Amino acid sequence: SIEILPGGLKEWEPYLSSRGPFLYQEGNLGVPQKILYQAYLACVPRMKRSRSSRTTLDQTRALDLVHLTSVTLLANPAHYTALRQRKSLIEMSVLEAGKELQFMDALLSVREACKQSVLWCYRRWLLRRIYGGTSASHNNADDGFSQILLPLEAIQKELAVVSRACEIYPRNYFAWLHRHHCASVLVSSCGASTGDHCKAFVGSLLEEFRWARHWLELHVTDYSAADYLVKLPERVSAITMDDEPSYAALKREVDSLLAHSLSLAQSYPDHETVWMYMRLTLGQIRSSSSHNDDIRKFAVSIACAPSEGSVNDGRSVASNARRFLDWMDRQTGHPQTWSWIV
Amino acid sequence: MKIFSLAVVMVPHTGASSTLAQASDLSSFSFYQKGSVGEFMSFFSKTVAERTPQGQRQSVQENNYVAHVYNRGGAEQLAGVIITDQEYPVRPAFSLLTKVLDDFTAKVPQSAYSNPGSISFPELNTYLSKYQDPRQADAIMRVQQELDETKIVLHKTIESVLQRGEKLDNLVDRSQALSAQSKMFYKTAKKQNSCCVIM
Repeated sequence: SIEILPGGLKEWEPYLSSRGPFLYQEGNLGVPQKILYQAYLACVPRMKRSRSSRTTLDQTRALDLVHLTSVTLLANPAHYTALRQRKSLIEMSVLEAGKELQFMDALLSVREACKQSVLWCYRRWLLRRIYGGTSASHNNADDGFSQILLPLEAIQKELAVVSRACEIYPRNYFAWLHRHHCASVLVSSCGASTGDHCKAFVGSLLEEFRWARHWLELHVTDYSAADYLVKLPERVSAITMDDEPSYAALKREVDSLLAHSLSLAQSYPDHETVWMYMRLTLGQIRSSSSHNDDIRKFAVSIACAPSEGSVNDGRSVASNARRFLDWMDRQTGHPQTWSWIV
Repeated sequence: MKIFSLAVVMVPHTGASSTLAQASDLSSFSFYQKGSVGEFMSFFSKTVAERTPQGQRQSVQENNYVAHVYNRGGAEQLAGVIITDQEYPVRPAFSLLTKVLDDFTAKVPQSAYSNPGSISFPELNTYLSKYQDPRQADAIMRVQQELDETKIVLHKTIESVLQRGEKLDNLVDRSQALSAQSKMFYKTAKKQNSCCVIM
């Protein structure tokens, strides 16, 4: 991992590595912030000079650029020019795409870095280059994996990188977006493969459902998680599979989301996200009329409940329920039968 | 939602308090912060336990953390402290504290309190792990007396539980439980107004 530590040389001097003005223990790099920013101020003009030079890039200058862009990205992870420079170095075979992916793994452990859209886009470009060849990475219109299939291990690795990023920076939109791309290729692989390969991909997809459900249970304000979980059924419905047991297992996971959304709303009615999750599942998955009745009864009971003490903000709980009932009435064409309670 | 730390602290009427058992989950913190965050969890737990009157419950927010404290007092003079993020619901947090204190007093004899190093209470780690999902606490909440949440005092900052004249910076400086690196981390992050993970 890489970490930016508060302070500078004065604070961290007793702990610095013998290799330089940073900490390095058990493979974890810690760079004091003031030292990093001083290095950044030195790197940026040198990087510009290196780019503007008309001489061809020799080995020394190429390595220099690698170091300059590494430091630049650590201090400023959204530095598009530095990233563009690294792309060129990969295209020139100065940098190896697989190693660059490892560098990105470490960079994405920095809080400020893991929320940057450009780093996630760059990561997808690297994956397209590794698994789709140079032509796949040249297609700038395609930011995802629609033209390639990734091996299962690569998909699982990406999912793990996203999980870590979402822990480091909560409600991490661009990390979730990356996960959407991975889910898309995972589901496509289920449809495109056969036999044991298909079973392995389906196993991973089932695990993904379980992971996403568990994540939402522990992060009930994470709307991106709810949106992700509900899009999985939509992706599954777009593929066809010959293996009946696999298809049945996926169908059970999909159907379980209805009960799951109701149980989360019952446990955490004060959180708007769980009500939105319930809306999303009802909009996506066909539910029985008895289930709809259960949901309506629950929402009405919450909307009518007396306003409680301040700990869970009773007013916002009732307001969440009323908005949900409004939505449900619009969807089903019911008149607002509960409105007299207000 | 997350539980970061669970602690049982002895808070006598007179004399110093001592932490008898503690469990923490620091897996979400980065490599270089982990050690200091752990020390500050202990410091935070003890500080708020000492400043919670016997028989009372209170919640203290500080940055992204909330410490829920129940000073049960009684013959054992024990307080339970749970440190969570702001998303973790209040009621299961206090239910868990009551359960922890009940189990601790049933299992650990009072004679062991003078030597905290000798106390073995692995249940604390088990509870910390199990109740990361607060819905697991439904079972314990059912058997406990209904909690009157209006009686729980909520403090928006740790400064508000300190006594007149006390400053958090001074308490940190004087604390023997915090290492030099942790104190440096705290001061530096505060000076830079960093997104302070420590406190």
